[in-house]
Amino acid sequence: MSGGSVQVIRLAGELDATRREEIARALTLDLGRGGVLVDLSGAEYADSTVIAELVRLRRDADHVGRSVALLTGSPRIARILAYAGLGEAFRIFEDRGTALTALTTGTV
Amino acid sequence: MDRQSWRPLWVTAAVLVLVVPIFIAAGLLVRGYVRGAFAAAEQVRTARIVAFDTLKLQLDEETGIRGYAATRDRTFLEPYRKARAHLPAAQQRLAAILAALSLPRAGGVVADAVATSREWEQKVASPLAGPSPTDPLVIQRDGKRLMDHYRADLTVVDQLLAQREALLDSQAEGAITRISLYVVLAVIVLSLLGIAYGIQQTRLAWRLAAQQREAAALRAAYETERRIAETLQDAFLQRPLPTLPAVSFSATYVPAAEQAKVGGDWYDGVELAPDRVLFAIGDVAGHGLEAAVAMNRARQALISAAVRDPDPARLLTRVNRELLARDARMVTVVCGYADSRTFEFTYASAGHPPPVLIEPGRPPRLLELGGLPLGVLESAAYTTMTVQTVPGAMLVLYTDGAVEHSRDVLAGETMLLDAVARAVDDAAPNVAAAIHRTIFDGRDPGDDVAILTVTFSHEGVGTGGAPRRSSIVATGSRGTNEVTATVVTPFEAPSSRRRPPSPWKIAS
Repeated sequence: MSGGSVQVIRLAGELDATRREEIARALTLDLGRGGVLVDLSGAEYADSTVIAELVRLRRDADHVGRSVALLTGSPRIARILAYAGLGEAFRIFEDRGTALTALTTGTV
Repeated sequence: MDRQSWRPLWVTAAVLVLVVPIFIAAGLLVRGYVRGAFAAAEQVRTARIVAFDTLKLQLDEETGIRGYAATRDRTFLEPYRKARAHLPAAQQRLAAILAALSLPRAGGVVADAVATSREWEQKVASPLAGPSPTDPLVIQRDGKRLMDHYRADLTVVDQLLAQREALLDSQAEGAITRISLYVVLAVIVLSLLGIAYGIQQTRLAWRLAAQQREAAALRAAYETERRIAETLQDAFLQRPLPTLPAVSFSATYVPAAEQAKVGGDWYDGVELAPDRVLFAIGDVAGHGLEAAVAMNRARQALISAAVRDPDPARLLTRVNRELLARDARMVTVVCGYADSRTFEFTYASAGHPPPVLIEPGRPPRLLELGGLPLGVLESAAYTTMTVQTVPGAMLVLYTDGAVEHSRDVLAGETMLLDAVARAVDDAAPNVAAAIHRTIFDGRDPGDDVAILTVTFSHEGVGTGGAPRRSSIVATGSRGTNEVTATVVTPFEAPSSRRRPPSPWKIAS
């Protein structure tokens, strides 16, 4: 995995179906080649909309050889991600620095 | 009747108001023209008769004079005198008519004829009628010349009158033709306006009818969707759970109060053998008919696969691929088997909140989670979990509405576990309904909530019902339930790793 700058996507607040389009727009790859960090540390809730969009982002990233990691803040968001089985599909970090280092060095 | 529907009547009345005067005016015009033309023609004919009289009277005079000159018989002077008495009046009348007809050239010719007549009177008639004419032959030669002149004049007058008559005829004809043409044109224009108006009205009516049809179709489609949704909901609600001696079910489904929509939540309990049941609970993302249909599809796929495959992880893998091949609606599921011979729950989870297990005398606890939801990734891997339990153990399955109502799943899980413990303590007749009641206590969950419980009876089943893992049951060693997991990936045979491999095949 090549290094380079990490694309950070920050999603905050209540993330539910009412914000579907906004979430889908935010979870879009830029033109970079580095890793992608989806920062959910500011999220208070995430429903299946977010799960579906995260999986799609991951699939898109796979196509161009980029890795995606998730950053969680609150345990409840981590729990929702665990419900969705995302622990199997993403590396989930609780510390931003660690996440960025892992993505930059390509150890995700 | 609204204003719009009276419009054709108003337009028809307006067209009539226009058309009737046009026809009346045209009729009057035609009558006037014809009358005028007839009057003029009559005048011309009169003029021709008078001209003929003028000629005849002159010829009568001439004949009388010539007879007298030849015979000196005075009786010949009688017709001369008679004609003489009428000729000037006839000549004047002819001149007057010609003036009235505005035929100056004919008038000039008549004046010439009158002058000729006078000259004849002086030079021919008077000398010959006298007692002794000096040179009768010379006089008579002059008389013939003058008469020829007079006759020629009146012939010209008659020709001019005939020309005028023809002209009047053609003018009248032309005028009538023109008027007829105008009338025809007016009628054509009005007809075209009428046709255009009719077409416009018809198109309006058609458009209106089309809109009404469309609205009716939409209403019908909406009605149909609502009916189908209700039917599906009814079918869902009414699906009976099996009643078995060794395993009992309880279930509840409460749709979201605020939208009367079918949710994507469902549960199933199916008896596969006397000691083996299939249980499943699932949630299709979204609401409405599409979600209901997707739900039904996932549900049927799961049940028909479960009949063939006893391994829950393989089941989910199969259904995942089946769903992805058709549409990519996301579905979360927990499904598995309860074996009343061994008191084992075997299950697999796809993106669904964790099952709760409660055993007699122990607090309820959350079981292991699973893999990704169905319908999002072809290569998703699932894990079969086996939980060894004891008689009287109960598995509680639920949809996310049961724990996410406050949007804090951790708090939700605590509430759920408390509610499960209380329902069991209270020995509620419908445990699932009791759990729902305890959690929500009359509040609106804000989402569909389905809860399914699967409980082993205290007796187990049959005589040979000694559980395989007899050590656990025999010792009754609570808190040491053995949980084993089998991983199934689409490309691997079952193995006994506890952690499933990443479903992602990423080239790093």
